[in-house]
Amino acid sequence: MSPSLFNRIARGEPGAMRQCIDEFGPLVWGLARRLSRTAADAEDATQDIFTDLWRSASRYDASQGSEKMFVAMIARRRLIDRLRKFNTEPPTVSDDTLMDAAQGEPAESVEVSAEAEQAARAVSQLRPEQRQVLELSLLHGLSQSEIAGRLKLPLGTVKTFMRRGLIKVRQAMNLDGDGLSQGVGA
Amino acid sequence: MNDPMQANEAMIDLIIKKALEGLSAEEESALNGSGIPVQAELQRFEMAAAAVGMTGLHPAQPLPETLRQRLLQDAERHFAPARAPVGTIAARRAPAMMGWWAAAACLLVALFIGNRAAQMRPTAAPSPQAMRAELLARADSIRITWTATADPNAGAVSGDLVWNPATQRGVMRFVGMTRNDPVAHQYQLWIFDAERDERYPVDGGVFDVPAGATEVLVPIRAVLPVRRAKLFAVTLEKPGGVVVSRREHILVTAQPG
Repeated sequence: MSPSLFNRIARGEPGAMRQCIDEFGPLVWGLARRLSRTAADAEDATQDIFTDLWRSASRYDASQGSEKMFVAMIARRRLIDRLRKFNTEPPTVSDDTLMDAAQGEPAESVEVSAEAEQAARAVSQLRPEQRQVLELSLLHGLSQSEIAGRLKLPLGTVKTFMRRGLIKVRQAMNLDGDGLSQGVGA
Repeated sequence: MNDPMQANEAMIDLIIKKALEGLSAEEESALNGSGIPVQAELQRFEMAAAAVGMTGLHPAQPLPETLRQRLLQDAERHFAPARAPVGTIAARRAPAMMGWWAAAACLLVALFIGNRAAQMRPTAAPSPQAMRAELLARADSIRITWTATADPNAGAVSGDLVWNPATQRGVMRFVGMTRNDPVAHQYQLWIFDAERDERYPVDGGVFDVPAGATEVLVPIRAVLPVRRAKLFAVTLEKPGGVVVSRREHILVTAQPG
């Protein structure tokens, strides 16, 4: 079995970093644009994310998910860190917007990965309020408190919607093991 | 909290919060003190969150070439620190010593054009002209002409835009649009989606019009999926653009039929 791209990066193999940038650059850039206020912020965030990827390459485990998922996870962590660290107001959306999105038909789009396709399908099948909360958090970078304020809902309700929604997404993606969340996702 | 299920939910909520936005010191302490092995749960939630976070991204949105060059420099520096000639601070929107041939070339081009939009344009991607021609050739694209508003900054601008809902790609064409000073203001496109709140249109990208340009073609860079475009509008904003426009200077609009 040939070593994964991240194994090659961890070994400092020439060409692997360039391949990584070319292969995952558009994904990272898309995520950064989505969760950054300006293009300049997104550029800085993209540089930070790739630095994290170089540092974390040795931790990639193919049995835990695809390389694309690994990249997306690291990118998310860094982007959320940046939003909180710089106390940046996340890109703004309204509750109406998300309610519309929650109640409308899912948009037809070509997803960037099989996992994203699975997730999009799972999200489209959630209850509108769960979908709304998940999208505000995951697509727009709002914190739970910000979501509660925006939707004028108690924080506990937001947490419940988020928990149930995310657990359903996990189940739909076959990510569940015999963990703590078994039996609390109804 | 004696109900085990309720206690379970509280722990799950903490793990989710940790995965999505991080915990306060008190929350972290509560989670660590629970004695529950959280790592596997945390990773599953992080994976689900990352997968949802990837949905609706434009699959063909290319990495700007200038940024790509900086990433290559960063990588080289990271993996060969002993060979780095000077300094360890990563370049931030400016060329560093390493990989300087490519970066300098990109910077020279950008300085010559004096146009941030040009900096963002990847050399590997099709030119705006080619993209416009390609989109015009598609039966599922729409072409709409711009209508200038009464805003004094609008001037005598004309032109059109081509938008393809299926691929979420588009190109704006402007004729006679006033040059902007990127240090003071930039143009920003907004796309009003019939399926979203019209107070919060989708950001379609920030761009400049260089001096002496009679016709300018600008690719549309929607940051969110647009399900049913009902209006395109260009505003004048502060450099870098804004998240929500105050709509003080709406210059042109284009409305699909």
